[in-house]
Amino acid sequence: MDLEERFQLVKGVGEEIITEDELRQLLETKEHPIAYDGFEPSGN
Amino acid sequence: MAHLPFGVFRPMLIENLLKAGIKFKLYLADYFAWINNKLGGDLEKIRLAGEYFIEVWKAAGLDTTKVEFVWASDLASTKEYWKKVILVAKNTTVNRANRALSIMGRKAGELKEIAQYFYPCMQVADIFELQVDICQLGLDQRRANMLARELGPKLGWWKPVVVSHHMLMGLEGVKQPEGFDENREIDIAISSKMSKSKPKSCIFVHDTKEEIEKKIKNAYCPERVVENNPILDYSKHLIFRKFGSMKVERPLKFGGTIEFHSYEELEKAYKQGELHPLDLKNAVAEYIDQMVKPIREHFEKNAKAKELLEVVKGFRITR
Repeated sequence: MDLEERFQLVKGVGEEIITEDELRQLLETKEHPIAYDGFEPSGN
Repeated sequence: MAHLPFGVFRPMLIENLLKAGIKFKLYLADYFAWINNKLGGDLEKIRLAGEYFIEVWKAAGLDTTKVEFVWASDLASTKEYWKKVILVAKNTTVNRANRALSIMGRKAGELKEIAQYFYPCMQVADIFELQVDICQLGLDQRRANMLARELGPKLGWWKPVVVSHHMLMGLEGVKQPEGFDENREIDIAISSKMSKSKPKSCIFVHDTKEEIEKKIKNAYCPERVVENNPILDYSKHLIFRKFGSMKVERPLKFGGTIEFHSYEELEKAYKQGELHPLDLKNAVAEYIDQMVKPIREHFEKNAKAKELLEVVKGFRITR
């Protein structure tokens, strides 16, 4: 998958991206960047 | 219990990120739930709720061999971690911490315990302890991520990229801003989100088809109105993302079955009154049921999952 495709996939996930330039640069330099999301385990 | 944003939307987004070669870490913030007094602040219950979360994602078809699960209590077991927390705390003003309260679903003036001030400091430390390049949380978490961007370079770490995803709207539509953010637009988005702590706003992954239909039927969805319409919100962010198109079945006398190939097409038709709310609602209920079904059925059929759900259901909810 080329850089542009990867960029578009990640971009498609975000409603707000800070910043797009930095994201592009990151994907350029790292093949497998680490992303995370966190959750408070709760019943409600 | 898990709702649409958690059980359906979150896994769908991760799938896209994995395709792009992203390595994803799902962080089970048990210590954070403890600080935030979830489940009565009972860590054992919180741990079980976390196990239930993992079971939901598995049922949702998330490739659990490709994502890494990390528990906050494990991450926080080293000296290095707490050193990072203290560094963050030393470089964060009380004022700034107060402004970050929205990340824990709290508002300024609601803080009662010092432990709650640990929360944003730990969340920022997590980012660097987990070696995160991309903070990919909901829009309601942006305050912590912005703080991480500011502090990272200052403390000799790095500046993470922030990719915040959409907050799915609650069934009742847009709400008055409750004071979670100074930016009015973001405040409204957070106040209007589908939230487990507001059951009326929610479709849960354990809802039966009938329950889903009933909830969608009663949802806010005025004719021709596309702004802040939760049913269109689900169409855009769930249905089109997953299926790429959307079919609305109608009796011939009301125009017959129609298929939309993009969200824009659907929105336009709705705005022009070519699509009745009831027909839209019927279609959306059908699609959402389809998406929820594998998860619902997993918890009905798998004995271990079923037991876990019963245990979590029995917990007294505290907020």
